[in-house]
Amino acid sequence: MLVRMYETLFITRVDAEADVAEKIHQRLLRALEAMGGSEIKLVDWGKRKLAYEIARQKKGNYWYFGYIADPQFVKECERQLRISNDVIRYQTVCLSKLKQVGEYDLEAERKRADSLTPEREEDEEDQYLRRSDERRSRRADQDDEEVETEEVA
Amino acid sequence: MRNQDAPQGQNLDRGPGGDRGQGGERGERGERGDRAGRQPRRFGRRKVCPFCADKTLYIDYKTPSMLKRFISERGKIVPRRISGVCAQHQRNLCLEIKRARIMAFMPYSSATAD
Repeated sequence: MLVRMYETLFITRVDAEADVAEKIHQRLLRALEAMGGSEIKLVDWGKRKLAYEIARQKKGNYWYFGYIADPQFVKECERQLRISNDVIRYQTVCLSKLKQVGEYDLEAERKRADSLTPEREEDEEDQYLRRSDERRSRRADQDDEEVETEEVA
Repeated sequence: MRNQDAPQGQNLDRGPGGDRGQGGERGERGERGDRAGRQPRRFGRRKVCPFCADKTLYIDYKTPSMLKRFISERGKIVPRRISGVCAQHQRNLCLEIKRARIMAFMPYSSATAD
């Protein structure tokens, strides 16, 4: 069977339920299996700032879904993403020409998918979290010092 | 040559025969003749396409930090006469920037330059 390798990136709402991507993933896997494709990986890219507002959202959860499948599956995959209210954007990119299923090295592709996660710029929320972490650790250090001085006394 | 010593105002005073009086044209030609002896303006170092120079550099919409070098502050794609990217790579770059825009990695435009 001739298949292509694809990657679909989709963005879910930040305020959506935690398992929304899991549910979509299950649905996609079922369709993928039925059409004789195989999954490479679903990678969570986490919460990121959007360059512009989409559906009145300033942030979104990014998901990377790689797979090898018949070109017809892309239609089904995008249909599934379109009907979900929590998916605010999706894009599929074709990564290879039509090849036999056996020609793909799934393990290598999985490793590649893992290494893709792009670096993320720190936003205000991250800075706040980092500062409070630093403050906490500093306080912990101070506590240690106090303990030491007590011992000396 | 007769007009070269004439005051500037006379050149600007254009006759009904055309935008440029005959005398004016002759005067300009004379100026150009003076300039011919100078060297043509030299430009700086010839720009080399960064993607041709470094083959490991991969143009990908998933790495917006790399693509950001090729957009202006306003978010426009920088023309290759300025960035020095070769034609082939500019085509790839253009496509990937547009893909990155769809996924909100990059702005379509930013109203204020920040």
